[in-house]
Amino acid sequence: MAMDVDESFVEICGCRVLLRRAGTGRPVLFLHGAGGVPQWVPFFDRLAERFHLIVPDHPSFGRSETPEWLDETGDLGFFYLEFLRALDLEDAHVVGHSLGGWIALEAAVRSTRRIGTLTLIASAGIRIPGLPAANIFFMDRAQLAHALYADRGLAEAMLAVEPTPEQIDEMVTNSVATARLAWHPRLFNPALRKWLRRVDKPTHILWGEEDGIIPAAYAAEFARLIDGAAATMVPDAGHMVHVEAPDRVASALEDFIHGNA
Amino acid sequence: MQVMMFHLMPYPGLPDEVTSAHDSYWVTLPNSQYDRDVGHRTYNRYLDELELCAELGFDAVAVNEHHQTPYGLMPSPIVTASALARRVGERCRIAIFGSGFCLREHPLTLAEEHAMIDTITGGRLISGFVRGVGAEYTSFGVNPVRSHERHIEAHDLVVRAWSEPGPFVFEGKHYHFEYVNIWPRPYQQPHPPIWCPSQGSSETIEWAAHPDRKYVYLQNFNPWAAAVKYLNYYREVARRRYGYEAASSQLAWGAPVYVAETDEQALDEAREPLEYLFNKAFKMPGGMFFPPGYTSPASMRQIVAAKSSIMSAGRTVENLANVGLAVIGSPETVRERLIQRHAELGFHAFVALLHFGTMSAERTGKNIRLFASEVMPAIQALDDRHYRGFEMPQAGQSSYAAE
Repeated sequence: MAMDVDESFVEICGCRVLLRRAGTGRPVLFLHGAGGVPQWVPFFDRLAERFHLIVPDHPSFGRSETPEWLDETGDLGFFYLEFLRALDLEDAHVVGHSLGGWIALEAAVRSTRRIGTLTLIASAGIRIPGLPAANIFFMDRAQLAHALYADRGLAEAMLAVEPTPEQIDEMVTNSVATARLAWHPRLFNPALRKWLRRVDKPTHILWGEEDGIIPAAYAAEFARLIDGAAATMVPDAGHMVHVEAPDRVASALEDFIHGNA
Repeated sequence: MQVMMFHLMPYPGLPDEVTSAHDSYWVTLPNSQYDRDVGHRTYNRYLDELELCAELGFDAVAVNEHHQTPYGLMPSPIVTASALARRVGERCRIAIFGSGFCLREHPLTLAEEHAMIDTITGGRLISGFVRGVGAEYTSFGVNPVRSHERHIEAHDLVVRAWSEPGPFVFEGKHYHFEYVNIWPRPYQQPHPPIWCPSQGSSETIEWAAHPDRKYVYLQNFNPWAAAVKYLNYYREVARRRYGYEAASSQLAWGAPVYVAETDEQALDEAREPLEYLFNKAFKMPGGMFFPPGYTSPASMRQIVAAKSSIMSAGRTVENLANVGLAVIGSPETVRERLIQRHAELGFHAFVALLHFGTMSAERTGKNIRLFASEVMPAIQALDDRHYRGFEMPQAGQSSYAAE
C-alpha cells in the first residue's frame, strides 16, 4: 500500500459498512464491481493524489454487513443516496465499475442532487438484446481470471498466487452478494434503461476494448441512452481496465472531472 | 420396511464424442441431440418398468423432477405420476421425489396437481418437497440465494392450501395470494405424507425433524458414511433439540441397486450404466451445480478454491460399490447388505434405483425381477426389532460433524 489509507466503519440505514479513504480534494466515490475490493490497487493511489477518494464495501460485500432490507440492486441505489447525505457529500464524483456502475445508475435515476459527475467503467445494468454479459456464475477461478484481463500474463500471475483462507471467505461472500443482486436477470435491471433519461449530470463512459465480461459495444449503448455522455475506449485492456491500464484510466478520469467541476 | 422403486427416466446414453464435446450434461447440452422417437419409446418403456414393479409387490413407485437435461426426462413428475395413477393397482403408492415448489412463481398449481393425483388414487400419493439441484436455478432463473427461504415459504403456502379451509389470504415475501381456495383438496387428511429428499443439508434435516413437521427424510445417492451421518443426525436433532424420539418411519435411504446371478456378473453388468451415470450424467460446471447461496459457506469455499470443475472425478463401479453408494451383487450379497444397513440405521423405507444410466430394458427387467423375488421379501419383513438402536453422540459431539 503506497499511500495512507484510512479504514473505518460507518453505520448507514442500519447497515455497518467498511469505508476506505485516502487523499484530499474533491470527493470521488468509487463503487466496486462484483469481485469487491480484494486489494488497494495503483489506480486508487493515482486518484488519491488528486482527490478525496472513498472506497466502501457495498452492503453484503467484503467486510460490510448484509442488511435485512437488501433485496435488489435498486436498494443499493437508495442506499448510496443516503450514504452521500450521511457523509454530507455535495458534488460527489461517482465512479462505478461493472456492478458498481449499475449501482451508481440506480442511484442516479433516483436523484442526482448530490452527484457532480458520473463515470461508468465497464458498467453492468442494461442488456443489449442478443449481446448478453458473460455468465460469471459458471466460471471457475481460472476462467474468470482470463475473462477479466486482456493480458494473459496478468491473469496467469494472479492464478499463480494461492488465495488465503480469508481471501477465499471473502470470495464466497462476494459471489453470494453478487448472485443476490445479479443472478437473474443476469447483471441488469430491465426497468433501468427507460429511466436513464433522468441522468442529468455529466457522464463519462470508460471501457476496455477487450472486455470479456460485458462487451465493449455496451459503451456506445450507454453513450446513446445517457444525454451528453461521452465514451473513451481503452485498447488492449479487458473488464478490469482500471487495473490493467491504471494511468490511462486515471488520466481520463482526472481530465473529465476537472473539465466538469 | 417399505420398498420403493425410483426411476430417474434418463434419456438413453449419448455417444462419448457428444458428452466430451460439452462441458455440461445439464442446461447447455444442445437438445438437437434429442430424438423424438427415442423419447417416445423411452417414456413408454420406463412407465412399463414402474408398472411391473407395482405388479411385483413394491410398496411404491417413485418419480422426480429435473429440467433441461438428458439426466432425467421428467421436467414434470406430475405427468409421469398421472400416467401411473390408474395403472399401478389398488395398493401400490406413487411417490414424487419431489416437486420443486419453490422453483415456481405459482406453487399453487403444483399443490392443485398433487391434490388431484392424491384424489384419483384414493390417497396413495407421497409428496416430496425439494429445492431442486443447483442447475435448476439456472434453468428457472430463480435466485439461489433465496432458495431456502422460498422453499420454506412455498411449503407453508402449499401445506396451508391443502389443509386449511379456504378461501384465505397468503401474505409472504416471495408469494402473495389474495385467494387461496383449491379444488380439489387432497384425499389424505390433512395432506399427503411429505418427504424431504436431500443430499444432507443440515438446515433441511433440522427443518424436517421439527415436531411441527416430522417429515420423512430421504438420503439418496451418497456414500454409506454420509447416510450414517445424516440419518443419525436426524435422530440426534429430534432428541437433543426437539425433545422427542424420531420414529424409524421418519427415515428413508435410497441407492442404486443391481442384482445378478453372481457378484462378479452383477459388477460386470452394472459397470457401464453406473459409470455412465456418475461420470457423465452429473457433469456440469461447479457454479452450475452449487450456485452461490444454494449451499453452505463451507461447500462454497471448496468450490471457489477449486481451479477447475469438481465434477470430473472418474468413478468405477468397484469404487461406487465399496463406498456403499450403490448396492451391487448376487441376491444373497444384496439381501445381506440391505439387512445389515437397516440394522445399522433403522430406516423404514428403502428406495431402490433399479434402473440407472444406460441400462438396457432387458437388464432392467432382469434386475427388477431378481430383486423383487430374491431380495424384497426379506427386507419388507424388517422392522425396529432388527434395528440395533440409536446411540446418541456424547455431549459436545454431533453425528453431523463425523466424517
